[in-house]
Amino acid sequence: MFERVTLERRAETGALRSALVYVIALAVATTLSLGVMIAAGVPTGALFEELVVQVFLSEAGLARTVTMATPMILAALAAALCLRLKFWNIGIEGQLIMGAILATAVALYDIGGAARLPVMLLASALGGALWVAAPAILKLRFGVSEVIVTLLLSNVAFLFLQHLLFGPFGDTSHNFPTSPVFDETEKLARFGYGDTNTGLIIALVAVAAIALVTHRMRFGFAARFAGDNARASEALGFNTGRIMLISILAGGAMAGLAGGVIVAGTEHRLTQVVGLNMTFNGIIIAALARNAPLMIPIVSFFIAGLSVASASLKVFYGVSEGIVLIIQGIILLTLVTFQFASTYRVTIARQRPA
Amino acid sequence: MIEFLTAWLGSLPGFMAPLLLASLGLLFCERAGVLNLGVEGVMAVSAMTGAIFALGGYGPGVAILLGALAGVAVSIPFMIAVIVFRAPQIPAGLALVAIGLGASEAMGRDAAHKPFLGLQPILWPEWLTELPIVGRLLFEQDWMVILSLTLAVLATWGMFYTRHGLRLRAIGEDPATADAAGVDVQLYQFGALMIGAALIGLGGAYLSVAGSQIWTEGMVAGRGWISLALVVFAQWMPVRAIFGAVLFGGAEALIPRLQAQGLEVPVYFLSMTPYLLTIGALLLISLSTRTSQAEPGFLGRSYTRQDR
Amino acid sequence: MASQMTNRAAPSGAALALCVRGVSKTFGDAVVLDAANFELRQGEVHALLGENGAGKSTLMNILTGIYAADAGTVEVDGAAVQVQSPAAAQVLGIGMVHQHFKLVMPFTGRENVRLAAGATATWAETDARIDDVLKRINLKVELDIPVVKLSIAERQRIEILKALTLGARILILDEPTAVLTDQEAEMLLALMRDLAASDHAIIFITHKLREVIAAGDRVSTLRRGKMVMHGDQVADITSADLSTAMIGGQDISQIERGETSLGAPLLQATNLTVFDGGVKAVDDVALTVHQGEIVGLAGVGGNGQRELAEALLGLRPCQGGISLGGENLSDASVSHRRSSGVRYVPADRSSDALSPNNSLADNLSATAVRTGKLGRMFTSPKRITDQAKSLIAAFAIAGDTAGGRRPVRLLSGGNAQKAVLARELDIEARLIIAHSPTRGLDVAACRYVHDRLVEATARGAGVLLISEDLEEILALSDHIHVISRGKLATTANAKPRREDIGALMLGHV
Repeated sequence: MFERVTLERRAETGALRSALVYVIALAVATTLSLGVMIAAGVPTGALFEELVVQVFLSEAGLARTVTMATPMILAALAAALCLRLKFWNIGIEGQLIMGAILATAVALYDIGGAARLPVMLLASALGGALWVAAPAILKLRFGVSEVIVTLLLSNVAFLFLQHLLFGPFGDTSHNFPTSPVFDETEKLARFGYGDTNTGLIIALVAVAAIALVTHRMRFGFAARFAGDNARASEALGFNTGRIMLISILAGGAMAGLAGGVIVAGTEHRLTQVVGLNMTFNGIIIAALARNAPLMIPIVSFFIAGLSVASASLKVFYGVSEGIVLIIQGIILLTLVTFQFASTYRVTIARQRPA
Repeated sequence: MIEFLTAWLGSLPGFMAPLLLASLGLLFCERAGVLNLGVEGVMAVSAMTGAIFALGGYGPGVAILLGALAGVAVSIPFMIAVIVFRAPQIPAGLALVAIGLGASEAMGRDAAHKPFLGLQPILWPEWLTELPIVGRLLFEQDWMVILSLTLAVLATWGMFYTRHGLRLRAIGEDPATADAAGVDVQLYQFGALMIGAALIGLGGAYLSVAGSQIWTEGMVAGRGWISLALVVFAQWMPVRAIFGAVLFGGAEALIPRLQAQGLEVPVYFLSMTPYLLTIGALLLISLSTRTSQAEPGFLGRSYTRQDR
Repeated sequence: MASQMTNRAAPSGAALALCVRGVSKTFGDAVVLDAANFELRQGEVHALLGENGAGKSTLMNILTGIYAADAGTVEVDGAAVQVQSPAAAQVLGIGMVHQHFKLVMPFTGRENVRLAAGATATWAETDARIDDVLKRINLKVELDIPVVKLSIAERQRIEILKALTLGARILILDEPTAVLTDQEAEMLLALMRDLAASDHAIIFITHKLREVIAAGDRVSTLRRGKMVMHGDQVADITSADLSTAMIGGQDISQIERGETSLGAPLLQATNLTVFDGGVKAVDDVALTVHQGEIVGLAGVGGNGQRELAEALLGLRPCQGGISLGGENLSDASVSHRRSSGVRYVPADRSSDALSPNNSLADNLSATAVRTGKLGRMFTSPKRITDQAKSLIAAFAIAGDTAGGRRPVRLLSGGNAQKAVLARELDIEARLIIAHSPTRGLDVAACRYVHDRLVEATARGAGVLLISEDLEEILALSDHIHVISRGKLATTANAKPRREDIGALMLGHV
């Protein structure tokens, strides 16, 4: 269609160019987002107040932001671990749900005795890893697209959750589909600032651990190679298949752990919305953080802030919560569209080629 | 038993139609090589728009049409990103879901929870509808059901028996060869995505205007994701999509029927069947080395002429 | 092997289907075509010989409208033309069957032809034209089976049918027998003669002497962009003439390896067969490399070199025996073989050897990290950087490496190759498989690579040098083999002359 314009894949992209493109993309995304908010009825003057002050600079707001960010950090780690290997894990929500379910089961059936909490968290990680195992194996052994399978299993997990909440896990004392509230030994300790809890520590430890493995351990080294160039990695003698499987399982475990942290730390019970939007949150944070583990907490913080702001925007300005989703979508779309400038070189021919 | 069957079969087409339409739309996109994960969001926008216009007094036909157009409109940024800017299709599609779900929630607030009179079934003589088993199935359906089946047949004809269909499929399989044969890859992709978005939009609008005749958030309820599975289950053939939509829609339709009987039904496990069936089908297909790959060869990838 | 076929002498009074005069083309500083002249007569099969890189593809791309010539003229049927695009070439009646077919695999042959026929021709029209062609030419094609199910020879015939249906009267066939069995090649040669006899003109690109003689009426040869043989009658020339024309005569040889004393046998491969998707890419090969020896494997690309290299490394399954210094490695994993001293410098370094987005230091230390030499569980960045720095210095890897911290993709080709060598030619390397190690490098970098390889042999390592560059093979090798269609042929002398090798390359089936 655009005959005069030729696209050529760039042989190499300098770091400067990449960084510049990223910054410009972010700037455009931010502008569009602010525009959407204004169009939705937020007075321009209130933007700073709502988006910055209330969310980050007030004690209550900060507490809410940190609480929301905690599981997001883990979901983003899940996304990043998989994305680095070019494994599109669209089922983070499902893995999270399975993690939450297993943690809840441990709580409800009083498994583990004195080690209840650690067992809950371990179980949640296990749940997530198991739920991603099937798509991983199907992809690595049989070449089946992980996009569809992780998606399908995510839906299955949600339906299973519904089944449990309206059935065996349901709290019969009221009509809402939630599990009974956990016992004290099944709750993660609170810091005393709002709902912030030791789940934050867990998330940050996970970040540190993954960063450590990635950059300071042999396994991480191999994983970096395998993700960047599987052929070269094979030729070097790395056991690429095993490395990829372990990384993907670790990603699933992170997602499951996010579920565990939500039920044990924030909600203290299992609800229908435990995994709401978490696949998307994880992917967008990982994309913005460019899959770098150490960047993830920072980006999570801001994305969480957006969610917290939206709640308050709803109350004070009647702005629908859908606005946050729109904004997140715009940010992601802008980011991937701008990748074009890093990947391709555009030449406009003066005459038809050849 | 007969009553049960009659009621179930009677409600089946209503569940089949939106799935079929959305899947047909996806088929066009995927046959052109584009994986459009945004279905769920597009359907939401179309459902909301259809409801708004139905509430505003426009006839159901017009409301559905406008809903479909809204679906196309919301898909345009995705189209431009993926076709012109070669953006990776998976995150772009997810972004479209978010934008679609968010927009439908935000803009549909005023229209939410307000029932309206939507699309009615075609009127046949009463005694026809009272025939056992098939009475309601055949004679108590709206014209969109018939349209969806017709469109499936048309899609088959268009894709496999016309020149343009051949060129379209060539793009999804091997854009380099198609390009060498003189096919304008980007033009056809735009065309396919437009048609695709329109069909997906029709499916979404049907949900509100013909189905529940009301708009509520979350009413798409995963049917967009099911359509993605359906396309794989149907191995990218429109007529098989009918079969898949009947199967998946039938499972969906079973649930209220069983509940009406007062049966203790594992509702959620029933709802899982479309997903489990598709996973099963995928497994079988991948294990059988004899089946040649039905998936469009270049699905999900971005094509640039220089890569030739 | 050179069969005694009577060549139809194309009537010398025949009209010129195509006439190319003084065509030149330069890409950057490389002169790819230098005032080339070429004449194609109506009704003849004209063979075009030339090594890889001689300019054949470029000339054909100009004739089919993909490139524009920088100078010179092209005449079709006596009228000067500008072939501005592939569509224009089609209108002029010029059609080409490429080495890599342009077919949509799941489509049937008929659908592929219909696709190529464009948007304006109805299927009925195209089908009619197909029938027309099939009436005139004896082409055995399966039109209504998905192309993916056809053999390569059958697919090729679909490509030919496609070109003919689109009106080609000048048909260019690019190395068509490279992918065929002997029998299929015979059928193709017969088909070409058939086509020539029914009012077409064929340009037949090949490097196989046997086929030139079997099917060609006249032959031209391109070498380094210049036409060095202009349409001589095939009947009038000898294979020696052809060989000389293609690869040149007694060139001044470059670094000649002195007499070297060879050590014990290092690599011993016996009965090596490698399948690539059902086809034998490597066919019952026996190969020995001694310590301190450089064994050269010459041959046009695509004859099994890559499959052989990968099989030796362990990346591909193969039948037969592989042993290194007595140790049987036939079923060993890649990491085992590497630990035993096998090293690999692949032809495509960016996709097979280096991880472009990781740092140079990481790439350099990959082997050491894998074996645990730089730490069992933890990797020490300091040790990695130190080792990288010394390797960068030792191998003079230039470019902005920032002490090895910048990603490898920012390095130039030459420096990237140095990085690969730095990693692969370590102290413990015993057998180095080097595949086209100097491809795309400038003269200085080439020299550097050669020196390093020789240096490695001085340490007692053995090198298997796989290359399409005859100069390189001649300069470095102690023993030379030629690989063609997966089979090896060895020269009689340990130090053969160019013509001997060329003859093997040309004459080998």
